[in-house]
Amino acid sequence: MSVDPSLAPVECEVLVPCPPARAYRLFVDDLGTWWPLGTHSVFGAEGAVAVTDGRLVETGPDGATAVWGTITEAVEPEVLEFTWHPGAEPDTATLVRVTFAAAGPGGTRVRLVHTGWQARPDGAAARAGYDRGWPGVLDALAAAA
Amino acid sequence: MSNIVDPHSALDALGDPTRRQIVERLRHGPLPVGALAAALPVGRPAVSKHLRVLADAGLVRHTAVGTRHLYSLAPAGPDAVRAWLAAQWGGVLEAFADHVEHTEHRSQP
Repeated sequence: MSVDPSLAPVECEVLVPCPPARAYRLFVDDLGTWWPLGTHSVFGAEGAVAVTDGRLVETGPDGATAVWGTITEAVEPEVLEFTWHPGAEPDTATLVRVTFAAAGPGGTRVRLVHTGWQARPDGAAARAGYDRGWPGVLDALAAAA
Repeated sequence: MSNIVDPHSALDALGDPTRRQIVERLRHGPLPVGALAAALPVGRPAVSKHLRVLADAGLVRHTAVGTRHLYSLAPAGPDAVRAWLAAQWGGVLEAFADHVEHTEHRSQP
């Protein structure tokens, strides 16, 4: 039996009760309001996150910053794509693509696809940040892919 | 051996740089412990120990081909981690949906 150790894309989606144009703006403009920082961040619940100059930047309670990724494609209101490397260096980045499609009357299907596990170069393993929960986990996962 | 992999054990096992290097090397195919040790800055006993941790976590499996003992990646390991990650993104999207519902509800006349 052959083993394919490569990691398939991670995909998930959700339906939201507003049109794509509105959903897209809420996703980007209100990122700091809705993002679950308590469980999904580098600095924890006391931090803040926002889209700044085309990047997703988290600021910790002590003012330290962590760049989660850089927007690589933004076709409002359909596509938002960004690199993803919270808690790690950009050369370990994977890719997250979020699409917004009209679904039913006045609704939007928000679909997220996380890919790029093969892009991670070997030899970049000796970094800090693997014990920070979710972001570190992404990094470890990229290493395992 | 169980095919059910606890994603937390797998992620814990991947928290070590040497073990990540072992996993990365095994991506290209099965290897004996000697070949792994030759390519790593740690000795053979240490590599054996790391392989045991990876095997216990369900990430690596061991096969004997004649007198050769080979280690390879176990497919269930990445699957378990991927499922865990999908659940994390699911949580993020759910948080977004909650925000939209809250916001839209508030803006209704």
